[in-house]
Amino acid sequence: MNTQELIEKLTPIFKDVLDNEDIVLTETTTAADIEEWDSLSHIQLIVAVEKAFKVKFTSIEIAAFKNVGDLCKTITQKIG
Amino acid sequence: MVFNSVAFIIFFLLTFIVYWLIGSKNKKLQNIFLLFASYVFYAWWDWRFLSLLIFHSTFSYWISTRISNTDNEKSKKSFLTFGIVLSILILGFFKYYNFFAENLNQLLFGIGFKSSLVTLNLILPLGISFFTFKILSYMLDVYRGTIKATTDLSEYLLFVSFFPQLVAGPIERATTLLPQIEKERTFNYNQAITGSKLIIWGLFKKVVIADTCAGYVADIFNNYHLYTASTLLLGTIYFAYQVYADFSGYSDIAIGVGKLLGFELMQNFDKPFISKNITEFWRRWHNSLSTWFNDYIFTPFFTRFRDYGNKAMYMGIILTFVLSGLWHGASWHYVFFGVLHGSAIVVETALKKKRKSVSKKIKPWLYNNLSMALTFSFVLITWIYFRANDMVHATNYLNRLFSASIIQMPGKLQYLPWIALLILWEYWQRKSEHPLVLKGIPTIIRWVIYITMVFTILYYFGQEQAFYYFQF
Amino acid sequence: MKEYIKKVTLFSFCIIILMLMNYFFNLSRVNKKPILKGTTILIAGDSRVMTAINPDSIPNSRNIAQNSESYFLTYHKLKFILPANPQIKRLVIGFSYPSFSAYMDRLYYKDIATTDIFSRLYPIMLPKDFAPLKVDETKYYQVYFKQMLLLPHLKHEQYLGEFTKLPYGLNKANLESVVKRHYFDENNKNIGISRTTSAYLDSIINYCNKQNINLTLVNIPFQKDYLRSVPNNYIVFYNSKKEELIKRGVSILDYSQMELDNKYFKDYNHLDLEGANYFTSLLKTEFEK
Repeated sequence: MNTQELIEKLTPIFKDVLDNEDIVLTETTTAADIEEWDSLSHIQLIVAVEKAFKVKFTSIEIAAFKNVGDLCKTITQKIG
Repeated sequence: MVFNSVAFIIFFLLTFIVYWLIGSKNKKLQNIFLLFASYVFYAWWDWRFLSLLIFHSTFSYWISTRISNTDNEKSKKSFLTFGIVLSILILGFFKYYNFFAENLNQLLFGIGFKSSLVTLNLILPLGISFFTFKILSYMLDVYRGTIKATTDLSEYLLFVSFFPQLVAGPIERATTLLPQIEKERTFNYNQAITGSKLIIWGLFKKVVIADTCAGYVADIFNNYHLYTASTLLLGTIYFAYQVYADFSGYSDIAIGVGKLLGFELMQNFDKPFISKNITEFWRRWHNSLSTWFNDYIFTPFFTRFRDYGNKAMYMGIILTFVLSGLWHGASWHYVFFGVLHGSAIVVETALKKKRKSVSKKIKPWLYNNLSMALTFSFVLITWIYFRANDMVHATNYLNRLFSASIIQMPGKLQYLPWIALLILWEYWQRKSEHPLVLKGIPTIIRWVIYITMVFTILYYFGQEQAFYYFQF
Repeated sequence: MKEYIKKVTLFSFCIIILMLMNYFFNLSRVNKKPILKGTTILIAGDSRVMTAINPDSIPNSRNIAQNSESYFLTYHKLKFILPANPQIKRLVIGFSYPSFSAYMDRLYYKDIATTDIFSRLYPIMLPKDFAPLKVDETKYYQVYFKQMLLLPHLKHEQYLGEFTKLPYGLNKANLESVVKRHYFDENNKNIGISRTTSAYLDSIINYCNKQNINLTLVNIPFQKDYLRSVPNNYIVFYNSKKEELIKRGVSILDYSQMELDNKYFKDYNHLDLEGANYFTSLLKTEFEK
């Protein structure tokens, strides 16, 4: 899966967890760009992503996510 | 020395002069001088605990270096644990020993044991809650790789003890302060002017508003049984503005002083009383503490237990706020204050979707103002638990507040005009970087305002009234 | 940096100029003696006098008593006011147990009343006059700075008190705390007698003799529970001083033991308005004799 496909798969997850139908994701999107994305919803997003892709992140990896692009890279690493 | 004292003015004047005489080219010497000045500043309060500050700083520096230099995951973790445990033990001993001992005694007595755990006559080292948290955040950041451990002891010591933040925060992170210490600071005219104005504004809030409200609040809280419920309500408003003016005023002075030395320190307050919900309130109030608890307590907790879903989230919130309440003081009424706010956030989070749909159905003007009023009322009521001497006092105050005499004319109205002035002024300048920017106003009038402000501050400049948060 | 220094210097300069303007204006006003037109009877003393003697009932009288005023302060007030008001022929001041307590000396040093007292002192005294007392000089200069440099005042007459009308309040009063404040220190030890205060009372008496002013000392009624709580050393000293003064020919009106109805009291040691009117009528009768 390449980054574009990943983002397409992530977008509905974000829309659902953050309860916002207007979200558009790019590689450089960060929590600062989306109002509903705070520390609480951040973890909820992680849980949802882990479930959807059947992966498990370590806390160091979670802390290192700076934007959607980082998230994609780590997912790609995990699903091979 | 408190910021609003002649001693501090002289101290800062000398520091400023020597600092810039040393010059930005001699950054290392400047840093050492600032470190020296910071230790003088701390020792002025209580020289006995200077050794504790130096010890704790040096120890955490060593720990962080060891964490950084080992590649072994296990020993990294051991060093971190050692560092955290010792730091918390130090803080816990001075701050919470008596609380712990008294409660343990009561517990054991309740189940039949006569405990002889003696309570000690301990003095709380100044600022210990603040610099301990700064140190903890550094060790954790180094462990997580958020920042590289510094190899310069003097720079690290300065980071921990930087005098504007030493006794009452903000709890600055190494990621923002250490780089500034490592870099050259050049004198910037605009930065210095902004800093000077912030100091004046901070002194205005602290001296004119906070210190005088404190007297009214003390009177109303100590003699609540003599006053009408309406006066008690006024008392909670006075308290709200006392803490706000005091703490944010102090932060403003700290930031202003930092700017005059070429540093940009973090903001701690952002118009907290316009918050539309409690979650937002803690982003706008004492922001450096909220983010600390969020980054180092809540997020690790919730991340670890994320598979348990929302239950873990709610527990994490309550846990975080209990600890936050406890941070403010070793007493049950502070813990209760934390529980109240944690519960509010749990409720808000659980009802997030519902709140959103309600907001779409009502006119935004009505929804926003109603939310602000509700949030402010909640803050006023919970702060009764914060200000009272203990749970009994708080409950009595609250009982009397919700009584028939609420419709009577309140007494002690004298200080209301000043609070109104503060509110109006902040609203008028809400789009500016700070309330003394006064853009568009002719220079002569601006100078009249600044000079009037200085005279007003001098007029209300009383005894050295310790900053309310210093007890932490 | 140069620009900043220039701005700060200019700003400070403006402030200093304004302060100097205030200072010189105030300097020209501060030594103006008050002219108490039409007053022939002057009433002075502490808060008990301030609330108990109503000048409206005594023709040509004026009550300038203030709370926490010791004989030290009264003496200097009189030395300042009387020479400019030769029409004053009669002086009435308070005289009772708390007047001689050493707590009166402490008021000039780290007490809650200190700032207030200094704001009355600075127009009528110089720092050298503080000599016999322990005085918080820093506080004094702070008050002086505030009064003389921060704002222009047309009148510097904070030392002129006035009669205060108070409502009944015995039911809300705390006997323990007022007795403690008057006679005991923070460790509950008896504070003792103030020899300084006693000496200044003598100075007032001598001054009145020299200036041919008719002096009357008045001990205003106490609520009877207060009387029972006064420590013995003060009663002994008061009685012996009273005897000594009577021998010297000083006129003393002692109403302290008079049993008044509780309704006349603001608290245990102050009369309320009703009490003041009743008491003043008693005094008036005495004066007319």
